[in-house]
Amino acid sequence: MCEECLRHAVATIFGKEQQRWYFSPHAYDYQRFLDSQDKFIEYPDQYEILSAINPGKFGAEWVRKVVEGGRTAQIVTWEEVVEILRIAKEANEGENLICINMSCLCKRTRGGDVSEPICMFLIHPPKPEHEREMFFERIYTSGEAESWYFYDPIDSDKMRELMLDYEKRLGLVHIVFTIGFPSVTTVCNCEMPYCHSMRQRFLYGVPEAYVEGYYVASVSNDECTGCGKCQQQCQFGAIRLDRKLEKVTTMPANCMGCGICRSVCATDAIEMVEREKVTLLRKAEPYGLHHPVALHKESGK
Amino acid sequence: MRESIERIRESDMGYPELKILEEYKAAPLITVGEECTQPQECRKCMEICAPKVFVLAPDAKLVSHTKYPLIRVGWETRAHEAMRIIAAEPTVCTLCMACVRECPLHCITIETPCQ
Repeated sequence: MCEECLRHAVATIFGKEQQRWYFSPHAYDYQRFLDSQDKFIEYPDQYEILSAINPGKFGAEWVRKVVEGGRTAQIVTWEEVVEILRIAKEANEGENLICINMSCLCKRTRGGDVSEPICMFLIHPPKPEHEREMFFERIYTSGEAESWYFYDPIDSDKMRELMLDYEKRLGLVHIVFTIGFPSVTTVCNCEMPYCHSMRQRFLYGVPEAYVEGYYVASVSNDECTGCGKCQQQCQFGAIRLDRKLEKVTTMPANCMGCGICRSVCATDAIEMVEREKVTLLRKAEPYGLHHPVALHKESGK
Repeated sequence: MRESIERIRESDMGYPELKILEEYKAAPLITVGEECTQPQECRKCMEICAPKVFVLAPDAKLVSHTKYPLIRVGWETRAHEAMRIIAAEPTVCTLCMACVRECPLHCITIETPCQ
């Protein structure tokens, strides 16, 4: 990712201007993504089967190979999702950016509940007329033909509301997912133990495959009532309810910065603070050594 | 069927440069038999498995590259008959045997290396 792209990758989050790789308008330029495909690892035909089997077979070696090939995920808060959708919409003015709401591929391959569409693909229809027709035909008909998929082309405003609903009701973590860094291809709502990327980090120990967000949860014990809802929702074991004190305690090193705990807190005792403020978690490089931006710096993608 | 499962286990999946994990070689041999003809309708073993060892995967022949990789995974794996369940990550199996009990066709077998 070049410096020029990063300079424009700015948005206001929690009242402060922040520079993030996924705020770059180029990340939502689908033609750019297609043009740069040859730079990436040649994805094998069996995308799903290999993303599921090979980590088990080859472990971290396979996962690193895939990450180096441009496939990675990073956790984002809902506020960042809102900005991402705005930027994606603005970056494609005059073009149709379609958010396709479909059932989660990871859950489908791993036996999770696929009755609700929770995966958000950001897709552009192809420009040539005949391909465009075929594209829409496939989008609109495949939902009927295939019981696994719910191709529901929706606008980004509806998508934003749905994302908040999934966070509050189902406790799902938002991630930006890419199969060709730095193009954002999907905004997922995922959970353990289905998510392939999560498994790649937590089972095979490759943090680059599933990068933590830029925030950590901070609990105000004055307002905490000790109900323990946040502990139940945390997928990463970063929150513990102290039953004697009836307060929650946090483990910032485990916190991935998803903000799910904050969304279920009835007394608003949890707020998201920048990871940079926690000295232990401060990164040597602005984006961190394991971050995709650092990983792909030399290749100039 | 067992031979084909063993072949999958030993295959390098097209990546001869990668080393197969020792843990994978030592993991239990979990076989989903040929009797499993409608895995996408049943999914009982996948749902009951807590560490999610099983994976519903499309057959190699029906998935191919297209110009639009984002939606490729959607429309090209439509063929029902091409889906099958395999034990993708036997390394995380806790040998609870829930899948063996749950399978309505009794077609799942688990063999540990000491057998």
